[in-house]
Amino acid sequence: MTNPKQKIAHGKASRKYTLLSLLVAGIIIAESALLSFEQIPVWAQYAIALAHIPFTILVATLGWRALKELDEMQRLIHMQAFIIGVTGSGAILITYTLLVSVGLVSGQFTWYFWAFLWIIYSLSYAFVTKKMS
Amino acid sequence: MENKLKILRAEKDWSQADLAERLSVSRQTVNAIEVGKYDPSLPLAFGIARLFGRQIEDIFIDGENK
Repeated sequence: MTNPKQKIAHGKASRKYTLLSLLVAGIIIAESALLSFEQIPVWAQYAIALAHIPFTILVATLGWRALKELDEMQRLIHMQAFIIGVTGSGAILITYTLLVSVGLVSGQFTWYFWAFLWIIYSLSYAFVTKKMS
Repeated sequence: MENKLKILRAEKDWSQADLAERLSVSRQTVNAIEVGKYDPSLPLAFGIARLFGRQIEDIFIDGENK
């Protein structure tokens, strides 16, 4: 007999993992954006640095739990989506950094630049998971 | 890699969801294997073979040795 709860379990796990991955990327990029503001006080910088410890433990625990619920093909899809998302947004970040460093672009790492990177990562992730499913 | 999973599943009158539940994978994975978009791992291939009472090579056909 088909158990409806079991039928939807893998779909739920997949959605949970997607949301977690996007959330982590979003938080990392939001943190970079926050640190790009020059006026940020030193205590806030220390607070952000210290917050990495519980945050990393929480993400690792949630990520591991969600990963265990996925089946082998879903793991492969999410791994590929992650690699493509990081490669895509990373390539933009590296290119922009190089252009700024050689003086071809007089840009700054503003909060909307980091937001743009998060959007690129999210779209790449969504595109890969959708295309391969 | 080609396979006879769809035929074997039809013989048993199982839906993709029924087969997925028996193999403890998602329906998405069963569909991807059937249409040749995904080659299962060896443990999953053994699980499929065991479920249908066949040898792996009876279900999965190596494209190079057809």
